[in-house]
Amino acid sequence: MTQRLIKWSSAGAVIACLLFGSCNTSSSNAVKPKTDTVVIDQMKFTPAVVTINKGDTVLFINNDIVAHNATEVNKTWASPTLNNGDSWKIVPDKSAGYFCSIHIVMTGKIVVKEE
Amino acid sequence: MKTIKTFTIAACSMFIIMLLSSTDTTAQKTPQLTDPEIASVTVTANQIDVDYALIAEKKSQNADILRFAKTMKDDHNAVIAMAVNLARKLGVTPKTNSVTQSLLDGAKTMKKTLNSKSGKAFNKAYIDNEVAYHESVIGAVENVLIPESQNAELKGLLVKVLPTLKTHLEHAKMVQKEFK
Repeated sequence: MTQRLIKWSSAGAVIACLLFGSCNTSSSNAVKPKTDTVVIDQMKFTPAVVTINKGDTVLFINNDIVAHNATEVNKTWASPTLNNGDSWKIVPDKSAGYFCSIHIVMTGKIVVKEE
Repeated sequence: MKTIKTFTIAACSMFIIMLLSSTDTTAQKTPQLTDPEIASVTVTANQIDVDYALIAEKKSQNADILRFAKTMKDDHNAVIAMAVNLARKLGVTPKTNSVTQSLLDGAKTMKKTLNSKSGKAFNKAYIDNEVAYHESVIGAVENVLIPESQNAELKGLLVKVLPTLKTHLEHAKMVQKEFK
């Protein structure tokens, strides 16, 4: 009985949406958060500059033969030490430059697009 | 101070000359260093830089020197582990040769020099040597060890190590500016 009620109410909701247009304007127009990957290999962050929307995730993967990290230039955030095969993710709220504090000449940048 | 620099350059030049003279320019397809010898040179060259880092950790108080030394210790130990694992996998026993011996002789003198210094003089001597040592090792890896490696996996390991050595050199040069 309960299952039948759920089915009917779902069907009703679909019909209402078709008749009256969009059901939930705000969520259907919003861009879904995505994940961008930065690969660490051969002593480089690739891509060196990653441009994301607010709410997106940046995933760091270390494929290099030595350990690295990603540290924001003002040290507001930092990954732990990432050994070969390790990964770490962050949802940055603003644009920032970062570097590897183990190999200070390795740098990268995250650009967060303003809405 | 000039003596250290002169010695460092001389020692590194010796390393390059030893390596380059082992290459027969008239028959470049015939390698003078075998894969077991290249494995030995690779492990020895990395171990020497680990040893220099251990001296720095013991003698220096400078944060930049200590950070650099820790990176050298960790990275070169990682390369040694990779080289030893690869040699084991390939059934290759690293073979001591004249280049390995030359490296060890140079390192013995340099360790003595570093151990005789303290304070700023030590920091300068250590980082000057790191710049010169990485320059010479990069040259040797690019011009001798990679071209002469016969096994693809050994060659691949050396190719993978090269960007690490170049980044170390860049890092060392950055720290060196502090001690000019």
